[in-house]
Amino acid sequence: MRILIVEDDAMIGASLVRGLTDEGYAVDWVRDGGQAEAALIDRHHEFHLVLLDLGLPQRDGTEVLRHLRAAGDNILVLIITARDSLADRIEGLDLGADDFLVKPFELTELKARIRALARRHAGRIEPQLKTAVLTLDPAARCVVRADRRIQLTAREFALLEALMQRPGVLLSRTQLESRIYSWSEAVESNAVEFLLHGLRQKIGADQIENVRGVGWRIVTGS
Amino acid sequence: MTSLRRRLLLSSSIAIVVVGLICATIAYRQVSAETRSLLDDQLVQIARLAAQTVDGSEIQSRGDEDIVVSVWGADRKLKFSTATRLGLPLPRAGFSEVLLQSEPYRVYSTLIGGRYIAVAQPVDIRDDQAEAAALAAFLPLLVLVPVLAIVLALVIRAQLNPVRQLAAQVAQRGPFEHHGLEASGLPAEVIPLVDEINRLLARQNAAAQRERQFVADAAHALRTPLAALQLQADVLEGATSADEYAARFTALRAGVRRAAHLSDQLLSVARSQPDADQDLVALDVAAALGEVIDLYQPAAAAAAIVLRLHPDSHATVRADSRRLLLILGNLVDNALRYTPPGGEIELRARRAHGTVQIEVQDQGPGLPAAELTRVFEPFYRVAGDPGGGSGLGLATVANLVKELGGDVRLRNRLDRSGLLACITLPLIVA
Repeated sequence: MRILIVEDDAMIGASLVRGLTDEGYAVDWVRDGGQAEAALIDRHHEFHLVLLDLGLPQRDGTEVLRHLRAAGDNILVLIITARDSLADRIEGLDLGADDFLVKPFELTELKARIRALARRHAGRIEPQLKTAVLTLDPAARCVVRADRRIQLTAREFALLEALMQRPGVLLSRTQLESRIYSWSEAVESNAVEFLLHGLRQKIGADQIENVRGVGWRIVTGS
Repeated sequence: MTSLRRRLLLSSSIAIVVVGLICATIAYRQVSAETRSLLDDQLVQIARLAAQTVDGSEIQSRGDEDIVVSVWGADRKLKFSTATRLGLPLPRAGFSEVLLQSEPYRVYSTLIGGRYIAVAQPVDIRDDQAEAAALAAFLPLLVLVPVLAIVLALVIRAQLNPVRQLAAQVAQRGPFEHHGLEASGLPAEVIPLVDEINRLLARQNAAAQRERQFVADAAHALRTPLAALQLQADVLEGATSADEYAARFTALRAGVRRAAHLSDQLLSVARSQPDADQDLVALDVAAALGEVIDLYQPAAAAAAIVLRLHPDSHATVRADSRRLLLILGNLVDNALRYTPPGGEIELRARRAHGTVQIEVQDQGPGLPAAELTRVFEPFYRVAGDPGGGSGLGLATVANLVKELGGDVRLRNRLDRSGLLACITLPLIVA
């Protein structure tokens, strides 16, 4: 899952990038409203969620949100702000934010909310992602196969999560890259294949199907 | 505590009693004297009547039993007397007092138609009548005094009612009510007091409002550094190598420093409320500048910035060292934020028109003209400001300089090569 952080405070931004990258998310960070709009318009389809600060230089966060929704973009928006008045929260939600978190907040809560938003967005009720063989728990960050817990790196986990979120759908290498790497990372051309190779070894090669030249998908049935 | 009502009542009651007593006494005397003169007239009339009678029977039939009438002929022989046992001596003409059987009598004697006539009345009876008449005049006045006092008490009470209502109005006020006291219906003497109270309330409300705003702003300003600290602490445990842990720990330390700096600034803004107890003394500006440079030297060195004191900076100002160092420190701190590495910050003081001008000049990007004054407002931050300030530094400076009777201005250097902060303080000629 790829997240855009819009935050003007250098310390908060840097920590959010660290915390969410640790979690296996692909994270990009911009510091003002103008850059946020540019990122969301130019790379519209790459991001799944925006962490939006409201008090932004150049263009206020509410403006960014208004433009985004006016343009018909249904990307997940989680507002993170120091403005805690009821009116601010109501305005934010009414403008089309999916959730609202007041600073200061704990990273664990932010992560839980991101998971909840992703789940709801995908129309799922259960917190776990499941195929006939595998169970992936985004909160516990663990994958279980036949009652056996499988150790995955953060990247491998993010890759598997991306595949399991769209069961049966073929995802191209570019699509997978954009979900697990941010702009700032120099991605080797075969990085995704390399990750997939490791992942298949851990969860079973038969669980991920490759359609040559098109992409990969998770195997849903047994 | 003295009650105005009680004092009014007491003083006016004393006045009423005194005036009442004086009136009553005067009335008593007046009526008493008038009654005596009436009784004298009566004696004269009886004497005239007696002159026309032969044997005094008419006089006896009048029923004035206490009155003794004696008539003598021209030969000075007693013709008759209404009280035979009382031998009136042949008196002198006019009024006199005589003792008859050791009882005092008032006697009127006259000579009419060749007869000597004397009319006498016991003094006791006259006194009784005079006293009765005088009391009749005196008593109503005495009864009126307490009645008047009661009426007065009621009137005073009624007149002071608006004042009592005002007190009730004050008593019912909550500490955060904004409206003033209602002055309508109050006596003209009380309205200036109410006006003053309302002005005081307005000032206090404004002060309380400013304080609440400051606390709200301060709490809000603390949110961002606290949010950063929370996240910096949260991501510590996610570090997978010692190097990464060290980097995250360094970030956390910087976050703590930032929060501490903000709380310092909040304290100095909170403390820089005008307090008269600070003694202003003559201070050498060059020494203060030197002290500030020493203080910020490590930070400047870390950022590869040179702090330079202009050599000809001698002047003496009236200030206190805590304020002066806070002012200069905040300005240097600001200059350090915006001067790029390798740059230079120059500090200088000079005399001009009976004042001392202290300048701190950086090599930063300067400020848009519209922001040059707004940046002195508490918690104001320039949009897109990369310096990471709290918005309090310049507000602190402005407050402190004002307390020292000076003035502070920012201006861009003409060649746009930096910002110049200029403080003007009163000069002391050494």
